[in-house]
Amino acid sequence: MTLLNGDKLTLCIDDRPLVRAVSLAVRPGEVLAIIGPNGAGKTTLLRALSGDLTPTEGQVTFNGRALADWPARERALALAVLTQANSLTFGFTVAEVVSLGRTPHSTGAVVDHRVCRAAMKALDVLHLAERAYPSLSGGEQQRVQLARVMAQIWRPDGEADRLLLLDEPVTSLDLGHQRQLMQAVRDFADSGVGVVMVVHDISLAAAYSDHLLALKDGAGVAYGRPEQVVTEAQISDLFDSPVRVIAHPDTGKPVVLAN
Amino acid sequence: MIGVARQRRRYMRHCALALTLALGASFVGALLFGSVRLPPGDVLRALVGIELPGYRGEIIAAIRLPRALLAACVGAILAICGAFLQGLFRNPLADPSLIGVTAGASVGASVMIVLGASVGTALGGLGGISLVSLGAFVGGLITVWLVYRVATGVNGTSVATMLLMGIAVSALSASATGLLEYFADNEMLRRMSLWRMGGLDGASYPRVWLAGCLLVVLLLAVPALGRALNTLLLGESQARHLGIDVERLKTRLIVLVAAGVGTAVALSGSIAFVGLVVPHMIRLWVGPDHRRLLPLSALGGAVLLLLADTFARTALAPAELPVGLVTALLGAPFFIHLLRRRRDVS
Repeated sequence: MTLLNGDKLTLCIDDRPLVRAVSLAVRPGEVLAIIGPNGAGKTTLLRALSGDLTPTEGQVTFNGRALADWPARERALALAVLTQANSLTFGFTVAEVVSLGRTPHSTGAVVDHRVCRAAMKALDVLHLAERAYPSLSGGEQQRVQLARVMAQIWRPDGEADRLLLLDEPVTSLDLGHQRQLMQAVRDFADSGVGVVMVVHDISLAAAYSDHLLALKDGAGVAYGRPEQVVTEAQISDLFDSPVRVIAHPDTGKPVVLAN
Repeated sequence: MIGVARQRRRYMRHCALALTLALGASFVGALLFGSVRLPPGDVLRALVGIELPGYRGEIIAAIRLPRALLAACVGAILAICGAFLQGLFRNPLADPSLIGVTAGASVGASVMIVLGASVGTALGGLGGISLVSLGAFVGGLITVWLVYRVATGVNGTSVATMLLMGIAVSALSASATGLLEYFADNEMLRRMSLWRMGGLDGASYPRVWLAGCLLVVLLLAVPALGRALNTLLLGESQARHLGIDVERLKTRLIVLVAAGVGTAVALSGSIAFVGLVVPHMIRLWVGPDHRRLLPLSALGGAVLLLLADTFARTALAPAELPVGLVTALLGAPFFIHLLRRRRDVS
């Protein structure tokens, strides 16, 4: 059964179509990356998938049920979202921020604590647990926020399959932590969670995703396995800029080189 | 290095203990001190209901006790409402006056003072609540309703619009108050400016009951709202994705704050500073977790207002200082000290 299904989604804001008839499907354990130039509608599409925006046309189905029909709390048990802007000026500690992810649950303090520690460990922020969140660097804050949304759906609590939506999770991270974060997301997906994320770095997206969806001017121009989407012709056309694509010497995954 | 989290848990216990002791001490102090000096034994005897010679028993039972109770309740209400608003606006410097409650209440009170010379004596007080108080309460509620209506559209309540609307309504109220002052005579002017500085001199048991009931309502709402407010600090969208009904939460907060601050202002005039600074000080101490912050703020607010009122009554006895001036006088230096110390630590 598909976990998340978007059927011919169109979103207009002030009569201007930002997303045009985009369809996608995600199964449990699958990572889908949305790529495309700035202003292509990637974030708008993700916000429709998360329920922040209601599609003008088309429907989002989550676990076989229209997304809008899910009661807020029940949905929060299976669907976690990391948005782009995560400003938090109040001096929570890192551990407190991560434990906010357990808000929809009533699993008790012991389980919550164990889950939060596991999530923090996966994102290499356990050593920051007692630090004040506002005192962290941008990259550290980003990893803490990801730990929070992962803690939210760390274990299957209930019947529904779990889905993680991430908007540019690796922006503002250094090279090492980019890889580490993507690996953590990959491992998380391998435990049966569906992941949809907006990623700017196409090589990175190709290396860790099962499928890529390329958006241009709100329309889906390519959708498929990384090797099918990341070709010189399609990527050059997508960004209006000539690129070369080579195979990674070790993994064989496509790597994009700007000319 | 001790982690912030562990340090906060320890501070939490210290803070709760210290504030409880301080509440007891300041309450006893409020009964002991006043323009008439009473020996502690007399105070104790009056409290347990033993007859005292002369008017001493009356001073305790009819004047100091209701006043101390009212001060504690109003202080706690103001502090909780301040903490609610700071969470709602995601701004540690938000204050009940920000959404126009205080300004609106000020207009209501001024209208009643100007008109009240004729109406007030005709109607008399309503269960211990004067017409001026009633005017303040209605004025406060109308402004909050106005601010809330304008800020609420199809996409829910915009906190930013509410903030701007609060400023606009406050400006409008200020000009309305100014106009009323222009038409007022000297006696009315003095009453208006005294009212605006705040005072607990109208304390009576009906007022204590009113404030006490409201405080209980606010405290009962704390456990349910505390956790939701924590998620709201992450942002509205994030809170929604954590399963919180954000629109309902915002409406509940606004209603509680309007009722709380409206009542507090009606009973004791506008007492600035308590709602702004008490939650802020507690936050510096135990962190921003509302499940700890809200109850501790209530304690802190009660202590601050009790101390301030006792000081206001005794400093220039038998004359009284407006308590609103005293709260700022007592709290501001402490606040500045905390800010400086915390800045140096981090």
